[in-house]
Amino acid sequence: MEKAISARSGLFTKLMSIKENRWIERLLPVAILAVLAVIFTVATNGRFATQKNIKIIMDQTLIVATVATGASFIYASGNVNIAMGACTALTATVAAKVYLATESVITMVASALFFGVFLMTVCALLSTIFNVRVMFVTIVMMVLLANIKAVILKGESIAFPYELISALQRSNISYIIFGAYFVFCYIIFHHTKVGRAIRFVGSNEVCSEQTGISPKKWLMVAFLISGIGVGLGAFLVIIRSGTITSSTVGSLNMDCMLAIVLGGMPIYGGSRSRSYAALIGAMTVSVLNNGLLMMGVDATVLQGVRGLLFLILVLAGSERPELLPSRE
Amino acid sequence: MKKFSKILAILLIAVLMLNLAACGKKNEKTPDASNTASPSSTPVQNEVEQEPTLKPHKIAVAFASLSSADIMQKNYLENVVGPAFNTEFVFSEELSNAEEVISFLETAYASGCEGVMVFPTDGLDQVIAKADELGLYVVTNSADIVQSVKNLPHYVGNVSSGAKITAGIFSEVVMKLVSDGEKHNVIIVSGGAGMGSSQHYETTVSILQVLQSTYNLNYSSPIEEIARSTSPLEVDTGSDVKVYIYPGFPYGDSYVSGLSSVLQTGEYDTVICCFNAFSQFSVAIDEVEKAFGKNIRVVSLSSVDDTTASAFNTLDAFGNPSIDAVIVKPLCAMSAEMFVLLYNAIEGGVDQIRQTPGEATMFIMPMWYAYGADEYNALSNLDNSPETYAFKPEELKQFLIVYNPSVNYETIYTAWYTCTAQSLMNR
Repeated sequence: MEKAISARSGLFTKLMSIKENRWIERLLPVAILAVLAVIFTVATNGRFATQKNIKIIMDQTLIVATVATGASFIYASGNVNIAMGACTALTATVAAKVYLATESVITMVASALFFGVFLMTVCALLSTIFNVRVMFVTIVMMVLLANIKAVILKGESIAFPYELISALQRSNISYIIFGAYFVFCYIIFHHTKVGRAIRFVGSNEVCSEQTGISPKKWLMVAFLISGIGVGLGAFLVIIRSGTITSSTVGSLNMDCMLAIVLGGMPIYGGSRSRSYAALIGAMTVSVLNNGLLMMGVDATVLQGVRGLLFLILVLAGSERPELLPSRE
Repeated sequence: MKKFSKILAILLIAVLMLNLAACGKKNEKTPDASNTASPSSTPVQNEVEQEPTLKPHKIAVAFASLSSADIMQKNYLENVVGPAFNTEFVFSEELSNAEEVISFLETAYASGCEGVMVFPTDGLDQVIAKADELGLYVVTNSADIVQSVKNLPHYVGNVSSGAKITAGIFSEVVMKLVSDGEKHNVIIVSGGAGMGSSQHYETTVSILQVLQSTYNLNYSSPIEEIARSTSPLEVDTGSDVKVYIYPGFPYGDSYVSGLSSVLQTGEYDTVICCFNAFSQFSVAIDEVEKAFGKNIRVVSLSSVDDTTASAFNTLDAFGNPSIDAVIVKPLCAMSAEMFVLLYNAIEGGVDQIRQTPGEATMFIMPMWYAYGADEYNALSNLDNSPETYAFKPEELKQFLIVYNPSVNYETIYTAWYTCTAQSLMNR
């Protein structure tokens, strides 16, 4: 009996050590994405891999990838922001109102960026000033922002001129915006002091504070960078759907969390966090949705598959690596 | 212990996944023979020698909600229409905004769909433009043709109840309700009348006109202005008859309580809902009925579903049904027309079925109405019973160009426009 328990324990330790392997951890999400793509291509007789379908998958990925790439800074700092969707929705609503008032796309984009950063700053300030965990602050913010949006919209929807949205879609500006933001985030995250400091805070808050890296300061920076993502994401939402209603980006928050976790971001943040996890995760979600529906899987079953996947990944990533004491 | 819990959790998830896989298999089962026009059991197959060979087609259906009425519609398309016409349907989950509809269209296209029925009405111009870009024929359920995209080649048209026709039906029902020789104080739940919904606006206007003519009211503002009110408004009627406009939708917590506070004044005895909202207010109405010992009559737009059936078959404190009359959207009959339009378009006859070639066309399927449970139960069979469906596959054949090459706009428009519940029940 003892032997069996010891063997099981040994196997578990071995599995954990494989999972903890730096390269496996990095390559696994990419490998999952590639395997899914191959499976769906074979199962759909190549229809999955057509140029048009790949563009469809990319189109479906952009909004989540943009917002989630920004959110990865917050996740890397060891925090979870569950108001990303509500912030994006309210930012898009405000930007739409600004457009209606000014009829200027540039002013609309500027207002989206400003308001996205502003909302994130408010979240960060509430957390740092009152010493409340980010998750609790963002729960409150999520409800508050949704209500503010409802008050602004009063049950109505805001529709943009068809010609404007069509022109923006034709210009491929969505790809340019995402590309620029992704590169910006990648450089900041992996090649600057800012990224290192944020990841250090995520690894061990106590340790970082004792070495002169203020968790509050870097949390604020993480929120500011993600605020830019919120503003750009809001603009992409407008380009994609051309209308803002009470239910706009209703599932964005869940999609962002799923993308970040699926892309291989440790849920505790820290040194193993990667900014591109959001892109890989968002693409995996789109590939999964697209491929399963192409194979004829019922849409309602698809919801269940997404939920299960999220559960499994959270479970797999819930083992915190052995580190110095942090929040105890 | 911690590791054991983890292993247990993994096992539970595996069991859940197996369950899901099993559910998936169940869904793949051939439909129930009792409500299926399967090729082996229908007259279609018996007359195979005269039948044209039907090419396989795939049509997507984008749902705004997944209520019991939508499930009935799904069953009708999947189990009755689909097998009869060699057509596979791909159904969406609940799509709550334009972005989700666009994503669904893209995936539907990727899975080989050639046409799409769109029930959500947000951001329709972009939705239609996306369908056109993907080469999917599209029919929507909107009350108005989307002008900015009406010339796109794949925008076939809309199937709707028609704002003015629905308003006319409301007039008839409300007239019957208020013409009993007594004075009634009325709350009009006007929904989006002031927010751009043409159907809610026309309905509110027509109700105000009926009340004006019945009680000789002298409104202090033009009826159009009153109907467009975006905040609750006690209308100055120049008489002791009270009329209250309650606009908006039940998105926030304060919506039902707002109406409840008006009802609790005890002054109103009639509630008319321009959209499917009565179930939201049923508890508030019941409380007020009990508190004031008076019957409150309710008329509402609705659909053939469990909620409406339950409202008719549940008696209030006075022994009356919870709802007195309904104006229902016949979803199965409506989706039959949408299918006919898409099928013909896919088969190459898109301009043959349009009123004006090259331009999206409006098709009208008038709403049905019922007073009392008996009328409603008879009417509901037309939309949810395989034996008495308003449009069975045999009847749909005459509207499809593969069976009837001479079919055109007039043929289809007239058939559905004249399709009232009363005419179907007589049939």
